[in-house]
Amino acid sequence: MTAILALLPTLYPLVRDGVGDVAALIQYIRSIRSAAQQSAEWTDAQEAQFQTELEATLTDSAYQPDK
Amino acid sequence: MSLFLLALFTLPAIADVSNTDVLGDSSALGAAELFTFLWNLLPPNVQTALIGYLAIVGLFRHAGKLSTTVFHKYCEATETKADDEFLAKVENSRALRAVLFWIDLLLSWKPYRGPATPTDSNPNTPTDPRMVNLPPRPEAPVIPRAAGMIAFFLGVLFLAGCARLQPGASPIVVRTEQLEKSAKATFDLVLGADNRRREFFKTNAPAFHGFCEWLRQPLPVDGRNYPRAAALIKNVSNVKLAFKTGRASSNDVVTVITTLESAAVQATFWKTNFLKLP
Repeated sequence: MTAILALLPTLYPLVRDGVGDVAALIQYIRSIRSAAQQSAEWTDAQEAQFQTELEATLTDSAYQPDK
Repeated sequence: MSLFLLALFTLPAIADVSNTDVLGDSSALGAAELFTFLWNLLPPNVQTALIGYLAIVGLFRHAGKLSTTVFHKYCEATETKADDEFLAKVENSRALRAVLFWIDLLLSWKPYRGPATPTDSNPNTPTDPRMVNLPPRPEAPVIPRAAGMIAFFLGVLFLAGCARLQPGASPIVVRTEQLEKSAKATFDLVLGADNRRREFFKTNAPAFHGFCEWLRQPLPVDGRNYPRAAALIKNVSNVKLAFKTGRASSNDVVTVITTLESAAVQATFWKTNFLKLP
């Protein structure tokens, strides 16, 4: 029991990061599937939404270089 | 099972999974959010079908075993032995075993089949006289069952394949948009993975981190400094829009696509390999 409690601080970040990775991977699969299913040109609304997503990279921490 | 069904029916309000902010700070994503996230990935009709499927599984588990047990006891209680022999013959037939295997696989239901046969490790197991002379039952095929469940979930995820172009749609434009979307998804995945453990990758996988930094370097597009990953997509998008209005040729589109494609291919390479890094 003591050993399990001692392991918890190590396990928690692994689980937390693992959850984020799995969620990102599923989001990736979902996007690829959505792209593969596209059968017509984007509407203006879809184009605008994609441009908004591109603009969001300006503030997204994942897209910011090392300080 | 009942608790699981209750949890399904009492799920909190559905979050908008298309919003990338949901994944922006993944450290805040807990198990409950992950469950909701996974659940929301399913289309509404699949959600309904899944709830129905789980309800049937629950009913079979509760009602199926009870009913077969009662039927067993009834056959044993009757004076005639003909029904006992017939029941034993049916239950030990290969055809029924095959059917029960699939029922167990799909509905998670093991019907009552009489007392267990004695084994070397447990010779004192109560014995049904009808079972004594029968050969031992084969072990349950664990691997096919697991493989079946994995195949089911993968089937749900990848149920739909590529779609055909609708009449009138420009193949160049549609393929360009598909590339934009898939490239954005790939960059999101790779940069997100690096962002969650920047220090780790900086130390242990400098090549991967260096590629991510290359994708993050600002480039001016339309008067704003976009990260290179977004700038490459933005360039393709601008040329695509010019092509649609007749201000650019298909050669221009192909030229600008090549640059984005090479970056996306390299990101895909890292996507498939960063999990193997030390």
